[in-house]
Amino acid sequence: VSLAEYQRALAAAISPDDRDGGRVTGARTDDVVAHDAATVVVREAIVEWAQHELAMVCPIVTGLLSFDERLTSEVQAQLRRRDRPMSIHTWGVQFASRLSSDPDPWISWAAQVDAATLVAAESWRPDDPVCPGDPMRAMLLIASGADPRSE
Amino acid sequence: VSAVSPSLGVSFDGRSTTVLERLGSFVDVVEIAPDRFVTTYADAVDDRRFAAIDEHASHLDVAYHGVGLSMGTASGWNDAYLELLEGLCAQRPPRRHSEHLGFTFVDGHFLGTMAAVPATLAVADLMAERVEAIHQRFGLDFLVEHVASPFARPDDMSVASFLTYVAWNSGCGLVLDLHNVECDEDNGRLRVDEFLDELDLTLVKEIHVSGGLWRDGYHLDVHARLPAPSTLALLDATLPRCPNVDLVVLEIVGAAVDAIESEELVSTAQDLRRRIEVCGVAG
Repeated sequence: VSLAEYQRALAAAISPDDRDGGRVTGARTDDVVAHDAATVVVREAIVEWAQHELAMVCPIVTGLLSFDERLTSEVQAQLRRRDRPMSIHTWGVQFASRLSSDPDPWISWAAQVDAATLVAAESWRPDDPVCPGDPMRAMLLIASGADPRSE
Repeated sequence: VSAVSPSLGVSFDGRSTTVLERLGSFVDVVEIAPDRFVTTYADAVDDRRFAAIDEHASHLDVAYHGVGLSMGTASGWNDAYLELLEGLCAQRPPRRHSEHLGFTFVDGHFLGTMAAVPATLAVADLMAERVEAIHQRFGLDFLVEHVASPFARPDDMSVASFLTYVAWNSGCGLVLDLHNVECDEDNGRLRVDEFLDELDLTLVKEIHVSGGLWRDGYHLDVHARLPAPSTLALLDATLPRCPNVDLVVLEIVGAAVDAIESEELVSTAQDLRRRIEVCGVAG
């Protein structure tokens, strides 16, 4: 088995769209059971990791999806796409943009807000140490009567 | 051989400054994962990136430890990582840099995890060739690290032989991550004692320690905990056998640091310092 074949087989095995255990071509027969279990464990760990990461960059839509018990399935749907970038911000924009056309108006609205926030964040990157960055933090400070610029 | 103990380092992923605030005065080196230090690879690298380090740990050396080069991907590595690394090195020259003998991308798709490359002669030759290219491009001390990975691989040599072969044929050094090899042993991939007996330990320049998680019978290398007693005992036993180690790094993700009591974190760093002063002599 070539390196490329091994890598494609492993990528398929740990992707949420591969439910057959993802046997890797060329794996030794006595390793197959352990391999099957390992891919299931890592596949689940990736979904949990992705939920955590997307919740950080898309807090509103992931929060609403969680209330609706849709978060895991939507994250799995995003993981199934074959164009996943390493940057969680870029991936968050993809995730939120996809959900901006969701038939549920609340999900659609939340996804548009999260996507717009991420896109707006591009304008003040790299992080300015004097800028709060987080719009929620800025809003909370203003609501409490504090000027975020004087922090 | 000079009687100088290895330095002590701590990882910093750029997400939480807690680790710098708590340990900045207890360590010598901050290990930065370039991929996590920026939002995207296209981000500009300037002094503001280092604001947190300058505020809490300006006296520390830096070392770059990549996770996103994907140097084991058959179709080619992630060159955007190297461009980012060039920017960081220009902005803040490191003590050294290092990467993993693994892959995070397949056909342009980020896996969401890092997997080890198969330990075969063909892959070893490919890795040695790529390490040499990195040497030529950066001209810096460069180390490679074995990846803990529970998946079966079509290996035709041992992991220790593979690492030794790559280092000998490329001129790089090795990072020995003790938690990685513990995970591999717990997941049935190798035996730690056999691995250490077979590995050319003179190639090891850095040792990493961390703690992971158990999930459904598998030991996962996720740097979410402080090192377990077994890892610390392995450090005590291994460090005296590695004459060229000059840095021991405590690796822990920022999100996990925030959940650890400050006293526990500091006492762990102090304990590591004591252990490396007793066991380690940097040549």
